[in-house]
Amino acid sequence: MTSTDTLIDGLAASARPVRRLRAPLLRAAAYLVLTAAVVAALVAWQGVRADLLMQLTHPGFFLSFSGAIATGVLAAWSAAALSVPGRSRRWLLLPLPSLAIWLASVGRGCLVNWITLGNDQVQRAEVIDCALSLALAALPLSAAMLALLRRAAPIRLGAATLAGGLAAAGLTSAAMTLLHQHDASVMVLIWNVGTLALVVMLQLMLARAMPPRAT
Amino acid sequence: MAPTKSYADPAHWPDLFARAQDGDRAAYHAVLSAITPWLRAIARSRLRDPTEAEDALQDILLTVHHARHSYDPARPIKPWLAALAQARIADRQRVLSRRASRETSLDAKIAAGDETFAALAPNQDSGMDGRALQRAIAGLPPGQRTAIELVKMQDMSLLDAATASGQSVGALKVAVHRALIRLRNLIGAPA
Repeated sequence: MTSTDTLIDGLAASARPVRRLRAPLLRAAAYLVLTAAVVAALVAWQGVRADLLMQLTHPGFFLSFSGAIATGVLAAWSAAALSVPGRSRRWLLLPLPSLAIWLASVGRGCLVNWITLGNDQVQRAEVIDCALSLALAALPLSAAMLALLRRAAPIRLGAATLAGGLAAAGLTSAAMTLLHQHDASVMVLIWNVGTLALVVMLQLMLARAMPPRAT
Repeated sequence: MAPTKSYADPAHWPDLFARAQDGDRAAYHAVLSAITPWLRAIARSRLRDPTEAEDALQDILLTVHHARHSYDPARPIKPWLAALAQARIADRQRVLSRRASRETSLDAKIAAGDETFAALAPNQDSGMDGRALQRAIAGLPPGQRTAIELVKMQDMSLLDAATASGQSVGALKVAVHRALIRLRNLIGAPA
């Protein structure tokens, strides 16, 4: 008997029932429900921005807000699919159209406001407040995404983590837009793109520090 | 052990694997035996050395075991198995290529008149033998022993070793560092 046969005997003898991984769409949905709960808690604590309804009638604001949400939702689905061995790498393309819409509308809005209004004065207290909300949204969403990825057995950890970071970043940025008024200046770009870069980096660092056992 | 003839047909694998996920040990044994020749063929097509290919096959089977919850029996099983196989074979190829880049041909050293090889006797290590080192490694605490075995003896990268051991990269670095200090003290090697 070869050592491979012995290994097979050992693995078969030690096998216990396992809980099957749910379909990527269901796992992404569970993540989004958790995200909704975190955002609801932040809204209950800080309240939504006063001019939300009015702002939603502006196409630029609507496009960047809905683009961030769509990026978050589609990237969560993409991350859940990419974390399963054997799924196509093309899943990474899923959130890209909405990401393009989100970043293009944010960039265009900033450029127009920069030219017409100039850079407004940003109060230090407002920045601290925003940073606190950002951390309170980004940390649980990134940790939940890490848990979602670790439960699977991602072979392409980099691609799955990138999509996961994009999901957490899109949803964190949408939550920030819901809570804080920072749409009349270049601050929009800083918050949106800054959030994107920070959260994706956070996700990559978490994944590197705590790689899944199965891979 | 050759797989039972009827189970060698890949059409049976998803059903067998689903039963294995539910804890059916006989089905699990049957499906592991059935997929082994297919996985071995993949490993041998990518790794020329049959011993390395067999080692890679065993790594793949271990990964299949750890990741078995991630297979969806409603989907084809071969892409799932192939993804796991490719990842483990790529790991082994990285280790082999790192090892090859460090090894130098002995003949070339002797031909070049390298004094270590030209005058062998004065350069032989008399103070330490391999068995003492093995005993010292065996005496390490489990976490440090695993870290040394994976990183220094199996030549895995920190990230691969962290993945295999379930420890963080940081914890693994600390464990390797402490283990090396302890080994130096145990065998009296210079720091």
